[in-house]
Amino acid sequence: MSNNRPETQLGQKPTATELFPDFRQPRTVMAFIFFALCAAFAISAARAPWHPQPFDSFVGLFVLFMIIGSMWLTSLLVLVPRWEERGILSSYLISWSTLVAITVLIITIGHAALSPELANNYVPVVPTLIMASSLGALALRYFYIHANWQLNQARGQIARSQALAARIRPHFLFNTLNTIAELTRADPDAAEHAVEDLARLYRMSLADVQHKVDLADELNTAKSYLYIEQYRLGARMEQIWDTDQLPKDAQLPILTLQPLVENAVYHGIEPCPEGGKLTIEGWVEGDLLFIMVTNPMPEIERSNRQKGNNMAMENIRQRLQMAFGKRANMRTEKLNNEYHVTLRFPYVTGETQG
Amino acid sequence: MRILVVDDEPLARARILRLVDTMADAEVVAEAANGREAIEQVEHFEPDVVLMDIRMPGIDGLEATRHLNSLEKPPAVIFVTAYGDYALEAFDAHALGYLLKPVQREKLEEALGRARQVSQAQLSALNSETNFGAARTHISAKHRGGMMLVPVREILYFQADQKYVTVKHTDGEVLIEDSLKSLEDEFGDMFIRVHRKTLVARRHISGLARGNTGQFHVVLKNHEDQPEISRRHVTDVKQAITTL
Repeated sequence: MSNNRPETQLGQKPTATELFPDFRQPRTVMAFIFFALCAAFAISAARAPWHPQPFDSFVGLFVLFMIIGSMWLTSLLVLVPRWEERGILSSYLISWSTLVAITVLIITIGHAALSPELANNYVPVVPTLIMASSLGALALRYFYIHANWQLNQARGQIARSQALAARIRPHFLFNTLNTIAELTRADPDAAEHAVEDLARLYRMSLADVQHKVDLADELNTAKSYLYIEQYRLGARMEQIWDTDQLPKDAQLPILTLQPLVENAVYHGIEPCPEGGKLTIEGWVEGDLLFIMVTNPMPEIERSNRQKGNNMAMENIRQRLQMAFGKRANMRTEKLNNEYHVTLRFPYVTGETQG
Repeated sequence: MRILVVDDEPLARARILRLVDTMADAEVVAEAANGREAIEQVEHFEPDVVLMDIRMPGIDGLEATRHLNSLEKPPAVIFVTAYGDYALEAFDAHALGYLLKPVQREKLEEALGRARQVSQAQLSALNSETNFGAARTHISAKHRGGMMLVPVREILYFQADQKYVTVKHTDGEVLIEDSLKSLEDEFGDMFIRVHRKTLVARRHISGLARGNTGQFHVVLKNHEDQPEISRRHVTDVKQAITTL
């Protein structure tokens, strides 16, 4: 059931800007200093016969690379953000030639300033060109591989989320169809309602996982699910809803609440012969919204039911964090033979988001 | 042909009832909502066929079938399943087969037809294959002409005699015909062998005691019995107790 999902995030090629590291990150700066250190160390150790005179010490080389490198990175910092439309090859060519130009410039100025007596007879232009162009190519190649790796990571993450969110447990589907088959005779109106609810659930599961919905929609999805389960479980399940306090226009990632309710039924109600009570409560604290799902803990938890559950919970946690950062979280708690899952997320409406 | 319908979903039972209603020589004599009820109803009504849902709370359909097999005249069991409950191919060898939800009238008729044709001997052979590796949650034993179910959690120890195994549980004891070896295989880590003839439930062990003759015994929580530990198992048992 995952074939015809929209693939907006999955098939895209990286843009020119994405192929450079974010130079504003402290980590990038540290990596650059480390790279300069290594290069200085390698060259001073090799004692190349062409080494530029004023910079023949390790410290000298390090300073030289730091100067060249910082100028290059600064130029990229200015140039790269404008490259949204530019092709990968041309942006790489520009940054590469910028590096070569900066290096030649610095070496020439360095020679003139630090050892005027040498400057007139020998400026090592050719070795400088070779060094700058090859190291520059290496750096660009590294940027390219690193950027692609990061993009692949992100794509894998999204793909996993999609796959998880899209699943409707086959067991649930066939049992529901069986229920509907009976309802068509016993209670045609209820059968109609159940078909609508099943359609709604399936449609939600096909949506992009990064899609956000109004809280009212997400609550309705959970209600659709429970409407069907109520027919299946009959008197074994009691539902208690207390979510009137919550602002219905709050936005949250699609399918964050429904899977929690599904888990509560699957682990808390279904395994109990005598059934139990399912509670969904919502409240507001400042600009934070809370939703808590509570279910009883059956005496014997079938071990095979536990599988997959942790992954589904982790998936919801990650999607909440992607959407709201650290202000959102999900907490689970076992208390008095009851299992509580609490979602916390900031009150953000479609308008405040822009 | 008398039928027992077992399913935890009321509407799923209602559907089977309605389908059977349209058939000439079949009638539903009782319904059950889980495995435990199913066993009670089978003992009470002695149906020819049980239409058994697999996934149910408490004792599930597979385990209930295993318990039914210990009856003298077990009913023919036809499994009814939604999807992916257990390895379905395991049922393919089963002449009586299984039905998929939503159950179709023709398939149900076919399955009931097959059930009508099997002899009692074939049935016992078929049903005895209904062992899918999963450990039971209850032990069934003959008790005053009926079947008694003892939750595995309440079993203190198994002790083998000449022909039977005594199951000592928190409410008394019963005799079963399983071998100690098969019980050990089935319940694995829940029990520990302390003697050639004895398996003790780890969850009920509280410690060790040494008798006058130097012989070691297991001390149980809330029970005065002290099963003997044979010499060759002493080390294992001591180790198990430290990791309790």
